[in-house]
Amino acid sequence: MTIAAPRLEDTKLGPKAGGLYRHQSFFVALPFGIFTAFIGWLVSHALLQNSNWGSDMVVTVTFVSWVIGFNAGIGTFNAPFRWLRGKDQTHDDHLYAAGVGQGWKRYWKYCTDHKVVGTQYLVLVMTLFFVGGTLAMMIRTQLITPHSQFLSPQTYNAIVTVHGMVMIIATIIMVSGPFANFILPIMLGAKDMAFPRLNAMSLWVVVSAVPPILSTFVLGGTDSGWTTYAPLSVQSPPAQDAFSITIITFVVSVTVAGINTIVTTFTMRTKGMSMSRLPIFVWGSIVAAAVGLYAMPAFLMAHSALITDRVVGTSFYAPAQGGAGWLYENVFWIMGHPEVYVILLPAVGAILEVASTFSRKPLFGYKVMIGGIIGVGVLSIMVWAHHMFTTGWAPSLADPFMLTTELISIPTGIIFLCIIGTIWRGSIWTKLPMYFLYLFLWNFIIGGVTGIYLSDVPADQYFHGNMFVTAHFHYTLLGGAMIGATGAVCYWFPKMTGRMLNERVGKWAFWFIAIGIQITYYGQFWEGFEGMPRRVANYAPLFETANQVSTTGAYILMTGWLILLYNIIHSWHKGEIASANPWHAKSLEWHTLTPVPLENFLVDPVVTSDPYGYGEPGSVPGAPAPEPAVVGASSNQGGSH
Amino acid sequence: MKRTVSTVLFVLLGAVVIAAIGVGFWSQAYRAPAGTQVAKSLGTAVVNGKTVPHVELDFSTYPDASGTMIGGQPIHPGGNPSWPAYAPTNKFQVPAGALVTVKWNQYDSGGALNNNYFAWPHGIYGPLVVNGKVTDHIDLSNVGHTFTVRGEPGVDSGFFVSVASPANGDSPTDTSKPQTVEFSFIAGAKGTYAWNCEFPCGLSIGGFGAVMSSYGYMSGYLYAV
Amino acid sequence: MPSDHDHKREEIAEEVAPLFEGGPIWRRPAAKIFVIWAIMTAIGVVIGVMLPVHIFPKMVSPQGKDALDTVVFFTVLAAPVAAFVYAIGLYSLLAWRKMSGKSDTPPPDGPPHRGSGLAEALWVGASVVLVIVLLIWGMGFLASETAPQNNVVQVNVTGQQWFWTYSYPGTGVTSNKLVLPVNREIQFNITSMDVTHGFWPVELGDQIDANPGFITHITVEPNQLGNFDVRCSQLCGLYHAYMYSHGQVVTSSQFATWLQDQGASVSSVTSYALGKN
Repeated sequence: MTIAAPRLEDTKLGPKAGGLYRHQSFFVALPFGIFTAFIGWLVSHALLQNSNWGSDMVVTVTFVSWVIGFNAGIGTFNAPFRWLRGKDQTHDDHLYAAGVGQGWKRYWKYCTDHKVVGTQYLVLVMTLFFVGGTLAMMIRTQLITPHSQFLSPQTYNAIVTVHGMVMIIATIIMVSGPFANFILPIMLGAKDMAFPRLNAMSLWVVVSAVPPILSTFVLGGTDSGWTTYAPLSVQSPPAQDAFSITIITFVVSVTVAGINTIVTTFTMRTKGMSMSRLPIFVWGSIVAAAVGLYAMPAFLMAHSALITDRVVGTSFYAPAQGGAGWLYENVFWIMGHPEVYVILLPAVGAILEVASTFSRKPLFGYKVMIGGIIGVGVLSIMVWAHHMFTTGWAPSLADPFMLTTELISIPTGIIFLCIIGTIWRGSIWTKLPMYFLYLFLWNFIIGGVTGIYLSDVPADQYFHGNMFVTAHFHYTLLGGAMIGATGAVCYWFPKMTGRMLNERVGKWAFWFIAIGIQITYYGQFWEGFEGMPRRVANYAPLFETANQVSTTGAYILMTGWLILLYNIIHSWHKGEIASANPWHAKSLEWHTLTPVPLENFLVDPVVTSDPYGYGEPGSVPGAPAPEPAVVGASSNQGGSH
Repeated sequence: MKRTVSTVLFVLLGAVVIAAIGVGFWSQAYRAPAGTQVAKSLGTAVVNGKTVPHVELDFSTYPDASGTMIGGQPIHPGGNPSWPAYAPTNKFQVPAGALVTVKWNQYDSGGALNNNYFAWPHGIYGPLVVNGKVTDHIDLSNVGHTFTVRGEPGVDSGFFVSVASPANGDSPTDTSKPQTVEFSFIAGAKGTYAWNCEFPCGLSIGGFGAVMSSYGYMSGYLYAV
Repeated sequence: MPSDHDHKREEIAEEVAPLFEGGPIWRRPAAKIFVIWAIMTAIGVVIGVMLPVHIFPKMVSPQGKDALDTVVFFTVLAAPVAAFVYAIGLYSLLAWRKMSGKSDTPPPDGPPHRGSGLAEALWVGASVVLVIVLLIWGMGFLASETAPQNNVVQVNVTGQQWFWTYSYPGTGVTSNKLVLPVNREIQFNITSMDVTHGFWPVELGDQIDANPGFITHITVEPNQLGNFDVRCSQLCGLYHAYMYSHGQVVTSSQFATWLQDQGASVSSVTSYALGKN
């Protein structure tokens, strides 16, 4: 269509528009952050040189200074300080902050346009997965032989810890970062998110959280796993303080992002978009955000108490002074269990969208699925002590937690009902995203069923702390959630980048990934059955074969991810140009131009039905049905009989 | 075809980058002392009716790793010079099944053990000789370090050696007056045996933080080849 | 206006009837889905019954056997459920795939079925039944792990970085090897001197953390002679991987002899073995 009116993104701004933002970017924030960290290091070093806690305090102050400095340098504090001085940003400032007139440079800056933030998140997530994946290859290479001396036990423990935490950070933001930012507002018919500045802030705060955790390798390495149980973590080298700063910083980002998602969904929907017409992806995202808001503060508390125990000698976790490791474990798992559903639910929402679009059928059981998603969210906060069955903390609570954990399989099972109900007698179109739906189905059943094994207390008395647990959560997090996220990338790639992902190369990546996952984690189930503990640098000879199988699978999996990375980079650069709606899908994001205009729609959309009107009379391919859709196979279908 | 070639090249490039990072981790190894001490041969001995090689290991424990006591290079190049350390290296090599005689010069101060089990020698062949006298066990409240060699994980060969040494309370920096400990043990079958000190001389929880948790100062390997 | 009852019957008819149409029985969709399901279930059951038994270590106590039996039972129970989902997934690719990925035009839309109250109710109902079965199974085994009765043999377990020591109270014996008499209830009293460790005597089928500042307890009754491994199951720092010790279940007289070899007096061994400590 041709538009005569000028586009908002072509507005010519005055030379002072944006104020301080004009001079800020990642390339300014990075040196400024390093400079501030250096000042913090000098000051704390000078003041505390002779203290027993010297190293810990110095590391803590240095990294806190880094986080503040980096964020000041990128522009996080500009608007609040302006407001504190009684002024506000002008309209031109807002447009500048949204990236007008800056071209590709806006991707390196504090940009309030949710589409830019979504793209920045996508690149950040891929980088984090590369880092975490490389560390995984170190681990699997070490475990090829029982007495390998490739890595010292200290290096190995440090790698296991950072691998775990980087992957947790990456999986928490892998769908909510790129897609709840880029796609979700467009799905709602909104112009942007409710809090655009906070949106940019949440991204850059995560970016600032990454260097502290990577620096743990040169600070002695953390030796307590991503769970950093106290009192071991109280004993750890100064690297542990850097790790805790990463966590605290990350929690701030996730909290802000979660609030943003929820408020946007409740207040920014376009006319006609009632809650019962929301795409299921939005439901998955807001329930996950709500669960995250409940859980993440516990993470922050657990680590704040850890820092004070280490740096100023409080005794939350120090048994000799009356503290207990159990306190840490409880607070941690109060976060740790809901957190995996924060990871899973957005990915499930995304993969359900894929299921509907590529079966050309409405989503099966939309209302029951919403109930399931909310059920999972609510139950997830009541199951945490299934991670603590063998701690000896509260033996009488074993039965109740076994009950709640097994109950959670009921709403989780509804996910499978909805997927198979959607593909049932559908018109399946096997494009690349659909491949990942099938892989999700395969993997998530195995992950979910093995979780049931672990929820059974007598079985857990054998499996706790054993590689079976590792295999279970990799099947659910990698095989389930991450594959769902990969499907989401393949699905929304044309809308986000304006180009089509190459299908042929994508299928090669798919098969390597699919087969790699099975071999790697069946090997680890085998190790678990045999009785191999987790997080061990060397192991008993009887586990050797199982480990070699798992490592072989890991190399295959690595190849698959590298092929996919190549595909993403190459297609982004040189892929076939995408049309606005290559999948002929029905949700609102597909009914705007590609590339998406600055305020998403040229004309505010008015919605008359949900995006699942496939097969309904009057339903034109690639458009929402013109009349309200009717549920079920009634003989009174709309008004056309 | 072109797409296939560039895909393969990219995967290889990725693998090279990952391998390079692997080399980085391998070489870091938290800066343990370099080199393995190969036990020097003392001929053969008859043990339980069999003739086996007889070898000797010599090492010392110093109150700090700076190397000033031995007038030479730091024991832990790039490491923390103020932490106690085993020297000259933390890795030992002996023939499998050999009779190994250990001569240990202990310079460091010490204190009370957290577990009295380690005050007694375990798994040794013949007597424990401390400062020239045959001894039953070390004074529980005045231990310097222990040399505790554990069996390989999951291999029930019964191999386990643990010997404590007295603290050098009055003269931890006098190079002429170490506590001397001498004992022998029979090396296990071919394998890699981890050893560490079980006297908590570190900081933080249980005394096992800092130096005790850092590989190479108070921990290492014994290779039976 | 058709009643809700007719609604449902029509709904079922529309959804389900086509499955049973189409020529000879073996060609009908329902039959094909059933065959795929049956084959996958059979594979799952065979794997469940044959594989864990061969891979698990040889257990020496009823609790160990419980863990293994649970794995077998759950696998056999999960097989038909997983197979149901997989069979529909596979069949969908065989029969309902209307357009390959090579095409840029989508196939025509599928039928506009948004849900089926009956299917949803059946599914949720079946999930609830399954959960009840699993719970009864689990709670049953858990209840059998009762508090210790009389004449219990006490063993104190001390974990520290990176070593386990076992002491037999009253006999003065402390050892790095865990020797236990067969067919006796053993109560372990476990603590740690520094950080949290996981006391895991593998083939005894139970484990519990060793927490500094607290004493935890588990009770096991080994009923087979044999060797077992004790591994540390909670990451405890640098040498966590090497925190192994060996264990052995022996006859009562071998146990008494062993205690005396470790230096216990005859009288202390006698009163200890009677469970009077």
